[in-house]
Amino acid sequence: MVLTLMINGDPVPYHGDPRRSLLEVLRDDLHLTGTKDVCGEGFCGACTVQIDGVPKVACLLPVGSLAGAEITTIEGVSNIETLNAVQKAFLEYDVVQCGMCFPGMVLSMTHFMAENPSPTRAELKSAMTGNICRCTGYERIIDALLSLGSNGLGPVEEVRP
Amino acid sequence: MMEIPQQSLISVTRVSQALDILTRLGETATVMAGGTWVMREARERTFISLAEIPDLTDITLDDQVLVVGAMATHQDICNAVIGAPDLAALATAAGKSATPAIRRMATLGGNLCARDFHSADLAPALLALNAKVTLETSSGRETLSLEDHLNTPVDRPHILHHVTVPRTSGRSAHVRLMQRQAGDYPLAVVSLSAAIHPDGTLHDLRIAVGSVEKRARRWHALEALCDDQKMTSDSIRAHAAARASQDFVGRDAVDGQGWYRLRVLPALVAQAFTDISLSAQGA
Repeated sequence: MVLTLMINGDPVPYHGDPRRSLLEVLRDDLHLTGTKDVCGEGFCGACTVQIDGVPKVACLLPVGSLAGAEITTIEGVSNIETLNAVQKAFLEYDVVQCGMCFPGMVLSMTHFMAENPSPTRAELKSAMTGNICRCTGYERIIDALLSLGSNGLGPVEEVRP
Repeated sequence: MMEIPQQSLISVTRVSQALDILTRLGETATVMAGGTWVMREARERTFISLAEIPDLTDITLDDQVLVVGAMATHQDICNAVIGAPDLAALATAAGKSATPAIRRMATLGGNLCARDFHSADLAPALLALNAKVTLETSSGRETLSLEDHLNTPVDRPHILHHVTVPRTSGRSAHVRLMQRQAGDYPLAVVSLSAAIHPDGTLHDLRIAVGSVEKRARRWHALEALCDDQKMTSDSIRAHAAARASQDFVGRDAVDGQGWYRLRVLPALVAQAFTDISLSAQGA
């Protein structure tokens, strides 16, 4: 099957089995290894990408279903020079430990913060349900996200990629 | 006749196309809705994607009926029914199952048709709400109760088109127990729907249990004991405790043992009763 994927704004031709997961194609074919391969069953969220601006798990998305969709990975969530507001907050609060969860966490929380600019702690915890941090660094991640509304890391509009 | 590529994903735009391909390929093909099950369990088959069929994502809600297309996602369903007291079980099932990303992908049709998936949340909720399913087959449309659909599935190629839920003046609740607070499959699920009189008398009671056995099903024996009766949280719990091991055989799986699934059922029934009681009081 031949199709064109739109990945981080660039058209990418794909020739192959359309049932392969987007995760496999991103990592094995395109070497976009920021999208992490962990559980492979949709539980952990490490492979979260945005499809037309909405977070979904790449391990359960057959690539053949994505023709015409805008696919955003961690490599495309901000431009090469500038981090987005969620990434800045994660850096500021030093939230990254082993690094396996945070690309997916950035993709999920960037969308959530754009939709919910002033979330409560409980709402953030609920929104993070599908992004498991094996280092259990949740509280600092939440602190970082809550800071977006209070310490001037950037207007909410900048949260959206 | 449309040529079918092998080892492929075929995106159809009409239900009739999907039925044609299913008929020709038999068990070498599988219907793909949201993909969250087939990508894990059926990667060797030819995928027939329903995503391009326009009206399958439609949801309509009025005072009489809720109609949900098979390709509506859990998130779509939650957004559509949240705040309706009679549909609260469905709102909770659709809004609390799995994770936010999965809820944006997983569909109603997939949840009701993936027969190897034993922890579906929508199935018990819709059983408690007396839902009917409408199937497309090569001989036309068929409508049957969800209970019949789950118990004795149609054995020829078919596509679940939509689900219909009658609106009522009653209340409903959906209670699920997991090992952790969120993100796991539920160990046991109880969905309950009833009209509740101020003195605690229940009418039109329907109780459904999910995750305990391989398929969700109604708990008719408990309904017979409690319907049109004045109930309290303690009394319905006692009835459930007396019936649970007679009416269910708990499923042993890696996430939980069968005996434990049975043990927790009475508490879940009592919680569901409490939830609808509080809802009826306007809490």
